[in-house]
Amino acid sequence: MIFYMAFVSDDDKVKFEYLYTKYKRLLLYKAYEILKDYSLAEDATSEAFIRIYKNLHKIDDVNSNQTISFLVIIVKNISLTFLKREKRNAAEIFDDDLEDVTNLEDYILSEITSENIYLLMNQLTEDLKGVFILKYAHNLSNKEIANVMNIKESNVGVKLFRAKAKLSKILIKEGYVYE
Amino acid sequence: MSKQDDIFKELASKYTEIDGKMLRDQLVEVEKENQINIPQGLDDSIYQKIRKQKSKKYITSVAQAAACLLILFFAGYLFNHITADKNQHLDMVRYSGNMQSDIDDAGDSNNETIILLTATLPEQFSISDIEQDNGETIYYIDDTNKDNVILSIHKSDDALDTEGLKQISIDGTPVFVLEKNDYILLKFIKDGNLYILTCKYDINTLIEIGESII
Repeated sequence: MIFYMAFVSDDDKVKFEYLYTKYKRLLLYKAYEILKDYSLAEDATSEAFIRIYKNLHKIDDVNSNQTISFLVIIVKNISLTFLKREKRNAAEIFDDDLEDVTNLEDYILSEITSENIYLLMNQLTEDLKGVFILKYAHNLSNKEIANVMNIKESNVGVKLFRAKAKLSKILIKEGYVYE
Repeated sequence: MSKQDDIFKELASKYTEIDGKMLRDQLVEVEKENQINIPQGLDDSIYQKIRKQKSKKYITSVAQAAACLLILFFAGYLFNHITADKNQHLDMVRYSGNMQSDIDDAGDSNNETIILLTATLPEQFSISDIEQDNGETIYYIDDTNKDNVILSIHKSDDALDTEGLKQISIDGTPVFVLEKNDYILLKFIKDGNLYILTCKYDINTLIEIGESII
């Protein structure tokens, strides 16, 4: 009974229950893939569903590829944060060779296969990829991304900058864009 | 939207479609082969946390109202206490001619008064316990990112001991930090109170809480 009171509307409750029932095993699996520890994976999954609950309004189609991608970005982000804590590795490794950041305003994207897009995007670290996808595939504002990823808005700006810079560099180097 | 943004949108959308399809295939495999067991109690744990999220908002508002009432109550109590002592002293002076004052001592009688934390903590933090120890109020703050914090507050008129600490600034207030393996410290003075925060892993955890206080 108390559970019912937690939701603003019946639609929210139904939506959340559906997402939870359908994807909990997958999210737990993705968390375990990173953390290699069931207890931590359980904590990460639990935290992920709290964030999903807080961002329910951003999910339209509960069965779309976009939604499943969104959920996995959240659980991966949390798992990586836990992993950083466990390994006491507070330092982030940044690419040093981003001094010359190229703007793609004068470029056109050439034909690029799905496989190559997948390989290209996976050259980004998970945190940069997550922020980039939330911005450009899910159309979230920097503030919304900060809430989803539980980081400062200024950090979102930095990560976006780095993601775009790295992608631009790869696109030009591998000839996926031309002037 | 710029041309560059168009390129990024296209990449992001196509990647999401591919990634989504692969995750969907993986979902089927995970369900079919029962590759991962759902721990007992996970469902209850998650729904319980969601209930807490909702009630947290109400509790914060009630706590803030209660804090205001407590401040008014203690201000009134202290004022009456000091006034009563002062009157008593004046009587003694009047009748005994003693020029010694007890008024300052009256102010020290409230070592056990809790110093209220009136800041609104960022969402991932919640207070799990409060202790009072000889004029010092200690808050135990849980972090959903598992970097739990201990915050101690006590009144301080002395200059801040900053030996071995690095100075930074939060919203113009000088703040002093120390970072070691498994031990991070941050301290500052505000409104006559000394705030000392410690955690295990990340200075940013303490900076976030410090920002909300300052």
